[in-house]
Amino acid sequence: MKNKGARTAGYSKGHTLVETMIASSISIIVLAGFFSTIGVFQTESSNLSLLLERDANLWLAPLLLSRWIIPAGNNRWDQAWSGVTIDTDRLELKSDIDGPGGFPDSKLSSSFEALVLRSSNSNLRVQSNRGSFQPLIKNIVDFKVDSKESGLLSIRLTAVTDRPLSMFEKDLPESTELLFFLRNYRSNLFPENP
Amino acid sequence: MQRHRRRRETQRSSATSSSGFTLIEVMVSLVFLMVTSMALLQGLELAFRHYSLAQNRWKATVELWNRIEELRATHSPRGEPFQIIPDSRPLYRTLLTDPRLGEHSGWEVLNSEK
Repeated sequence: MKNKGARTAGYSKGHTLVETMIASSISIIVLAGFFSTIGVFQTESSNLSLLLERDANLWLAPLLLSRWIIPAGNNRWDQAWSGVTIDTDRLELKSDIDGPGGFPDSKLSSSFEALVLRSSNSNLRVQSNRGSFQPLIKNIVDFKVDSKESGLLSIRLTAVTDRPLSMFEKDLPESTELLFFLRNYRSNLFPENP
Repeated sequence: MQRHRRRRETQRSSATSSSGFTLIEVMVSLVFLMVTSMALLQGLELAFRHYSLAQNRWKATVELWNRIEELRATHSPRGEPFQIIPDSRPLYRTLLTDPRLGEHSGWEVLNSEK
């Protein structure tokens, strides 16, 4: 009597092997689906992050370059320097932008008045006055400068991602060409009294 | 004896109903999981769409910038002339637009003859 009761009670508890197998299979399918979704999400988020970082660096360049390039020359009648010196991958800018009272003082002594820009080690580097080259914008692998007609300066920048995107073998490059009109390039003004 | 049997049956039925999940609970969890996954992927797609939009706008802005600089460099008078001061050289107003930057956006360039 006791044995029969115990056997019946044991049989009624828990699940059968078939139920367990079905439950395990469903769990595996559900978890695999969820984790594959998470995997896709993580991969694509990482790709997007790399692209955004590359583009943010590239989009920053026009703001900084226009700030420095456009006033180059500064139209001083007695200036003894050439405002812009162009090499293919190197650009020298001289602009007297920071004299007393915001007026040019004919001395290139302040920061960012005499600049050299070039690209090396995947960075756009800048040298101010007699300092050393410092990294300015990262991920810039190509920096080409060209002088066009009518005082236009053309700058071609190429930026790449930090590392190749997933499903791509190489870094994805993105290029842009910027034109700057050098309105102060020719010294043609009359003497000034600051 | 009969009372014992009834009690055992009641215990068995309550044990069976309380252990594990019902099919409906599992289905509801699955639906919830699917909705969450779809929301994640849709959020990602939205992020890519906005990135693409921002990239197009940035390219359009750079192209407009280049056109303005070319216009300034060539001093080619275009657009409608007007004078700020009487008897002065006329200025020419040129409006540059790009459909990628929206219908109501435009850059106005004032230019004079060389």
